Amino acid sequence: MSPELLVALMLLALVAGILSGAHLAAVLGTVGVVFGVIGWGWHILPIVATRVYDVMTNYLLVAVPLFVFMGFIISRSGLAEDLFAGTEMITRRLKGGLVIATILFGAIFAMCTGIVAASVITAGVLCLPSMLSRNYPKGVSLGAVGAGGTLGILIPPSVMLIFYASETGLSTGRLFAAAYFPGILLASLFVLYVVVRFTFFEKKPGTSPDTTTKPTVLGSSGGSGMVATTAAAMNCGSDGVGSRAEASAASPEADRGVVWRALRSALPLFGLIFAVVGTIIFGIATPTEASAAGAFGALVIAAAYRRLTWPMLKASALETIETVGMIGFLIVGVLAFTSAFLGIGAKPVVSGIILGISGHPIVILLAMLFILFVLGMLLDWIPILYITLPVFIPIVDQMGWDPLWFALLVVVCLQTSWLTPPFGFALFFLRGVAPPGVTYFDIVKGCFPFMLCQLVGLGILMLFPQIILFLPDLVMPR
Amino acid sequence: MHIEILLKSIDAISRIQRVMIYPLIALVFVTCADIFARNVLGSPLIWGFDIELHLYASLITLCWAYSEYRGAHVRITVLPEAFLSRRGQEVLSVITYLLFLFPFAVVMFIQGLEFAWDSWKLREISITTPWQPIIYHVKAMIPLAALFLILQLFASMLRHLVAAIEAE
Repeated sequence: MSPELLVALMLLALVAGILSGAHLAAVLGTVGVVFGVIGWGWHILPIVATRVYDVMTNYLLVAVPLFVFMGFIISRSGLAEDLFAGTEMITRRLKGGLVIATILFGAIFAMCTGIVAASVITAGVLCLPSMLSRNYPKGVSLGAVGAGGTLGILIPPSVMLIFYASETGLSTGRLFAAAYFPGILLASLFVLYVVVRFTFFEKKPGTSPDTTTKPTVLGSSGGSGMVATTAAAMNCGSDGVGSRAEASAASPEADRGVVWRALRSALPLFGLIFAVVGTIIFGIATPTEASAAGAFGALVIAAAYRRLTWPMLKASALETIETVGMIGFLIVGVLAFTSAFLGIGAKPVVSGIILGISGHPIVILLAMLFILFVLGMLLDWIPILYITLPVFIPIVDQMGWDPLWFALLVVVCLQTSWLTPPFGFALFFLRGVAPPGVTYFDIVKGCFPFMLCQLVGLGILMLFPQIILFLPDLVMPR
Repeated sequence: MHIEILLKSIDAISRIQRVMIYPLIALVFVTCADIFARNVLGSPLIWGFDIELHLYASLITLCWAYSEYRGAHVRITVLPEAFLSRRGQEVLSVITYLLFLFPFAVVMFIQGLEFAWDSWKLREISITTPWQPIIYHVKAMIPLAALFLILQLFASMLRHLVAAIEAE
């Protein structure tokens, strides 16, 4: 069989397996093993074990379980309610204020935890009911939750960037520094979209938030009750949401009180996160050291808030090992797939297609990003990175592009993979927390404009590489 | 029913893997102790790097079955849910277990066993650090993780099979 045919069949088998509903990791693994044996022979099989061992001895990836652990501890440390009350207070005089508050909340919470599932689910149980009860349009409310939460995988500390660093040998510190402004850019675009939409196009009651009623979720007992039960049901995110659900009177002092309380619970965590990321960016600590110190610091902060109990620690740890087991199996599967994929000669085939359309650099770049975008509709970001990078990186070298710039284009492009149907994972998390009556199609439709914002952001980053390169060149000049 | 007892026992084996929270917590404290020793006491722990790596290696492998028990592995069931009956979905699940999950898990078990056995025979040590730790137990985690996973996959598949038979 010719390599072209084998590559095509392999991708076809992969898609068929994914659509059948089998575990992604196992589909990747089995397709890899079968096609490896067809294309290479039986002696490919030991690679399955040796590549697993390579992952097990990759010191950089030690940071992954530690960052996940840190995120789960933080998401249980009681940050969520205070933070949302604070962002709500700050934005409530703006048109579409509650939606903007949700985006900001999602972005900040996502930054602190770095776990998209936890961010989307927490924002969903906390912000959705208050937006819907104020008659904000369903679509934009859902989209704000999904879009804000997905920023967690981009804004450092980001597990995705650690995987990127381990696959390409780029410096984690430079990647982290490079990711800040793209993250801020995306969040600004989301907010801009909401402002424009509510200023010019929206005639619904949500247009002018009722500034006389007080913090919504926290005030309405029905709302917070629902939040608490859903949060418990999802077994994720903030325990005891609504525990501080005392409604405050509408006065400037009370306003300041809410903002002050938000700051008081957020500032120590901001300090922790910036210390963790800062030590990595400035090369003071390795990502592994910083993540361990970060997890320890999160425990200390949780203890300071009197949230640190053995059941809380155990629940965070159990969620972590559940997630790490999922990531581990997924890596093992995708490594078997990639070994076979490259083994049967996919690299020349795919790069031949990319380089063959037209020699123009822009076309080549767009072709690669398009491939990422399409894969994002079907796959999770971990397999996408492992499958595409071995093919893409040589092309980037050949074209003489800045690998750091390209890296950020890749991870920003993969942001869309959370929101693109049919298989965007933020869409699934949203479906889990959306109130009854919200269909999957509602969620897809609501997230679509935010996905377009991400593509606009991607275009801006392509045109203005300085947005990416400014910070890393400033703090650690080459 | 005997099959219930069998499924419960397999679940119990997977639940034992909740002990993996201790390597996780240990990883936090060992790494922090290493940082403290290096920066405050002036010399790093000679065993720090290797122990951190071994703890991490155990986490990234030995939790597979627990994730399967918790239903945490990434799978996308939108299409079968949209187009198939309850029974059809369950039957399709059984097929995917046979077609995709067991082949890969079994290959990993067999290859991992060979890989670990070669290392075990030599009593292999790592020479990348001055501590020169044994590493055959780390390699043995691969077949062990695959074995636990196969057990839990078997339980999950039986559940789907029972559900397919009982579905209307």
